[in-house]
Amino acid sequence: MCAGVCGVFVVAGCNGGTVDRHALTNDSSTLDSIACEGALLAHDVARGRSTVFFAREQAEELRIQSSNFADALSRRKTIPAIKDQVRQKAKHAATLAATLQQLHNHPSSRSVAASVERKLKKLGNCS
Amino acid sequence: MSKVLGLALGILAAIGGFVDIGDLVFNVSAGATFGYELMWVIPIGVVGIIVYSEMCGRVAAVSGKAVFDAIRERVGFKAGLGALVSSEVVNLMTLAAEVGGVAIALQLLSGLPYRWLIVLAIVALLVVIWVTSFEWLERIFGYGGLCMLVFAVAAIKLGPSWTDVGKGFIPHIAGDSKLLYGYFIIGLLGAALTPYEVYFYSSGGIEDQWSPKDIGLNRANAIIGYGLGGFLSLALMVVGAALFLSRGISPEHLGTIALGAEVPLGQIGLLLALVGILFAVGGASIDTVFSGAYNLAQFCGWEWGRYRHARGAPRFALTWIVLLVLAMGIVLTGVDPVVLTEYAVIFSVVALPLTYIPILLVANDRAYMGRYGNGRLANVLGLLYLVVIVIVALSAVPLMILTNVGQN
Amino acid sequence: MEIDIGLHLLDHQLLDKDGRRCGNADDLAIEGGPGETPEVVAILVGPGFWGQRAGWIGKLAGWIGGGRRVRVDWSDVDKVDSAIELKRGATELGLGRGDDRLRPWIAKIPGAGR
Repeated sequence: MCAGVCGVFVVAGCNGGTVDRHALTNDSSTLDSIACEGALLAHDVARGRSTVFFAREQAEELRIQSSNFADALSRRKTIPAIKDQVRQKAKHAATLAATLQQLHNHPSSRSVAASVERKLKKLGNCS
Repeated sequence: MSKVLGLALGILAAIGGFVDIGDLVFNVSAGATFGYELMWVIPIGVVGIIVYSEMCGRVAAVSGKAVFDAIRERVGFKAGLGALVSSEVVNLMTLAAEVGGVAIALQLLSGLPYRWLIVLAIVALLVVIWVTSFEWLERIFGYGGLCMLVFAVAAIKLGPSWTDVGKGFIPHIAGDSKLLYGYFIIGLLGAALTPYEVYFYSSGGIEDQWSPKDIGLNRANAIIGYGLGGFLSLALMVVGAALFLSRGISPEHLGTIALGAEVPLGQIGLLLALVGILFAVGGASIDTVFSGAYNLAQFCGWEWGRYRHARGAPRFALTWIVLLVLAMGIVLTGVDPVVLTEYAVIFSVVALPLTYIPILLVANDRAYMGRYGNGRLANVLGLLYLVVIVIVALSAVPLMILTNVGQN
Repeated sequence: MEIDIGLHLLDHQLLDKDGRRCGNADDLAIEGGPGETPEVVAILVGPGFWGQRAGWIGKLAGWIGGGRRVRVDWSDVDKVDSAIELKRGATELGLGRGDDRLRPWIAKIPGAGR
């Protein structure tokens, strides 16, 4: 069990390494997931189906998550072939964070929520 | 109070108390990743916990000993110490995850700062445990946890394809992402067969002063209570599948799970979900901290039990207080409770054989059980699950590494 | 006394005359040389005896536990059932001292003795 525990932590630590195609694909789908979840939340706020506290705090959670991606993707080493794509993704994540920030700042405004929903749906290619 | 009423109330508390943060995270995630394909795993987990809880309850009722008490006697000092250390480590991780979950639920309800809510949650737990009797602790959190039924309503309201849901109950291997599929099987079973639950159930039998005449009650409680509670796990997976899968949403926050009730049912759904999560996870943290205190006290031979009060069992009381404070420390470091939950569940899976093998041995031992030892059914099921548990325990860490903790 | 009894003694719970849990049988003192029937003369209680049960990890656990050692004479044993029941009180026998020392502090918190 001890060897297993150590093994897990070593591998988990390795995650903060170079961004390759696989990592980029994973990060892209996570960002889409964040965007679509945000869109779902915004959709409910726009229809008065949420609460102020929940909308505010959940939007903040999602914003922090995308903001962390924005940081990581703009800083981490990447394999040369995909460098442009990665930095582009970083900008995408930053836009996502900024949009979520709007929802966090106006958790009871239906009009802000409706516009946030539109933007997030586009950002995440949501169905 | 009539026996039937007592039984009914006990079952309600068992349903409300069935779900903990591991179940929340893994069941919704499994639905969001594999749709209904993993439905078949849930009944397997539920039957497993029923079989072993019934055994543990019977051990308590007949021998007057809690299961961990009997473990040291039956398997010896060395193995007992091993079981103690591994169970305490996993227990503390689980406790921290549950406490973090309580703080998050409070934050989503109140909008207050997370760090303060961690401290508030611990203080509230300390006070509630200190002043409330064992019986009422189970009732309060059990009944509050019944709010989780909102997820059953949400699951139906989301209008899933019931044929697809039905197909999911037929055991099969996924087409692709086989490793990730395996990881989820492990996580789902680990979340259902939590060690702290069987230890707690057994010591709880002593707290409630069960005797051989309560064996039928124990059996009914385990089968009906956990059986019905299992429906909540099914509901969570359906919500994950019906709402999140098609939208490409991968749930990474507790709030995402609450969203699963908000979307189909609006504000009322959201509030019931958050309150349900608060009580279910809060109740689970009490079960977990007591389990940790029970195991240590029983291994060392100390006086133990909420029924002895703090004056009667001072070291036992100090243990659960210290465990809560340690958990608070862990959560205050900023570790994500959802991530911590995944690690806690997987590590508890690794320790499962060390938990369940001694239980099976004790439940069969005529010296403890007299004529109430395991019958053929209990032994067949017990052994079957032991095989499952060993396979699952051996594959847990490799799968965790290979799938990068479920991130693929 | 047959050594088989060791199987029903070792690691079992000790209860004093009032039914209070006061330790486990952490080891046994057995006397009897070659040719004689081995007899249990005392029950050894306390983390101080863990080292001899489980090597270095037992020693470590014993050290964390405070290393206390108490010897309970066989004559103080009333009967051996699922637990070992003693004739006298825990405090008299030097058992359960950890609980006794902690009790006055815990008792200061209101609601401790309900």
